[in-house]
Amino acid sequence: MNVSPNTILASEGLRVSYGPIEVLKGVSFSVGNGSCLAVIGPNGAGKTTLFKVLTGEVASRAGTISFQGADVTKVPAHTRTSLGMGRTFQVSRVFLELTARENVIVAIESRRRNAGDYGAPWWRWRPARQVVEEADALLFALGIAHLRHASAASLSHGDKKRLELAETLALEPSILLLDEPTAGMAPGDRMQIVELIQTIRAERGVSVVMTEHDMDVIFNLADRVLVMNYGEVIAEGTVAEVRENPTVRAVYLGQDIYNAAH
Amino acid sequence: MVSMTDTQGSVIERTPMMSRRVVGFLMVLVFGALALAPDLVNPGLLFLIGLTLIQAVFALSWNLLFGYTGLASFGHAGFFAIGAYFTGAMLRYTVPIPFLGMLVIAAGLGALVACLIGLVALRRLAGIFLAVLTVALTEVLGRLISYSPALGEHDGLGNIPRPKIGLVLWDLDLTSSRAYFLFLLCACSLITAALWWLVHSRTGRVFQAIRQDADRAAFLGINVARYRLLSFMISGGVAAMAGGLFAPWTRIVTLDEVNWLASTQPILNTLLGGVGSFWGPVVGAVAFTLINYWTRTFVGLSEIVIGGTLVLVIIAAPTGIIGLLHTIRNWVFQRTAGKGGTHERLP
Repeated sequence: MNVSPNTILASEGLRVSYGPIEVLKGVSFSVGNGSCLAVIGPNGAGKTTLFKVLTGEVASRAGTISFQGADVTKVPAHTRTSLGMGRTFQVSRVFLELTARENVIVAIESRRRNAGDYGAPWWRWRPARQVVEEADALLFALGIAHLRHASAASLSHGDKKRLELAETLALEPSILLLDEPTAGMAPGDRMQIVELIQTIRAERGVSVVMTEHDMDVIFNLADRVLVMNYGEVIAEGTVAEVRENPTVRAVYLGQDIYNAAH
Repeated sequence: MVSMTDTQGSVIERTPMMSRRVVGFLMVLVFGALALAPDLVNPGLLFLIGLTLIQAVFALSWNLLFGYTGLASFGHAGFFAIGAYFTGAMLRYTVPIPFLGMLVIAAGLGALVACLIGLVALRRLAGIFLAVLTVALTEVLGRLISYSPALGEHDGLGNIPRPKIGLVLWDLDLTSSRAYFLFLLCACSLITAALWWLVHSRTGRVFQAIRQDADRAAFLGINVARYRLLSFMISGGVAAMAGGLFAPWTRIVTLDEVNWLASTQPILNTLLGGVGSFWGPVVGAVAFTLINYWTRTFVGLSEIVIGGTLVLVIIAAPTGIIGLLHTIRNWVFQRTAGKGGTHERLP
């Protein structure tokens, strides 16, 4: 597999089947270092499955995935994470019975453990001071510092999404895979998240792969767009290119809109 | 409960049932009372208190697995029996190993067996395999023991002598009930303290994260299978150590310790005391003993009362006695549990 040095994440001919149904029919794409790729497509197009394969939750039947130049097709999910893949879920997943701060602490301690740097001797049961401070700084950056002692279960939907993002950022990933980062959010919250992701990209230089239904979010964030339908890539290009692509308009925006436009 | 003004880097705060200081004071009080027990209560009652200490540790080991890591073992008696029969046989046949060494080896054996089972079951990442395999372990062990004359077959391994511990400067003679009880008290307290430390350490946080959402934990870079195995090994080791302490106390180990019913004991104790709390299994073990003691003169009544209590607890207080106390406390003080109070892990 030929991967250019500027590519952080790439796949070649990914195929995934759930029983007799082939959900991904040979998906190939690549994400440039520091860029943001949005994966769009109608429901059932295979976006979430693509995410699951990339992060290691689901095994592919064929094809390869390369991350930072290394083949990670057979690498388990937790190792991919420690290599620098950070992921959020469509429905946010946090540890409900832990406090917001503890949630982030678990992530920070995991990162440090995988890096071989524990920060405190093994018999210290309290989290190290620098770990707690780092957690609080992340919670502050995401605007939920005041909720750090609240149990995660008591957080609102939007705050859970923020907490999940804080946890993921605590891993210091080189690429963020965001599965519908603004799903189910109020429009105001949505734009906040967009700004947040822009800030994260600017400050940390992370690459982003995201699925999203909201076109405003995509136009604001994505450098390139990958359009999927029935498990296949039907178009790829910049936002403007994809917008003008007649196949995409037909499939994604609906035949009616396309007809009305012409 | 949400304090906005605390300094950065402070300890994680929750709404504890009692402040740490009160809990600490109570601990010292209970320990002191128990240390005086050999002089205050009759031998029969002392025997029961000793058994309760062992059952409490046994239940704590099960709850480390279930309440903290989210795995269920329905055959935990197998590990207990490994420890009990091991130290029982070592003492009975006067193998020249120091008693503390025996306990450590017993724990090691429990952890080793747990490791072997775990390597088979935990790879599949489905809890039911683990539950079934642990039941199988108990049954196989029971069968093996029933065919080995050295372990007393169906009659049990009796006449187990109590040990003497040779320390550097003096010998600790544990042959009397009083001496062994005090040793038991110290050993159980130390094991409990070690478990408390474990579940509050960063490893304990990983266990809790895995129980709450194993997939999410994996995507935080946590090797879920490895930590599940670690938890299972520690749990098996502690259960075996509880068994190791049991044999010299009762001075007889029988097949009653190696069956399905014995495996349900730590489960019942945990559910009765409170599954969401560290001290739940201990409270449950004490409650269980009390019920047994008060109903001892009526044959069959204890089973009915225990069964009834359990049904009542599950219907009225799914979080067990500790959860019930928590609710009553909140009710008495006319205060709500605060944000997400029902999801708080109790002290």
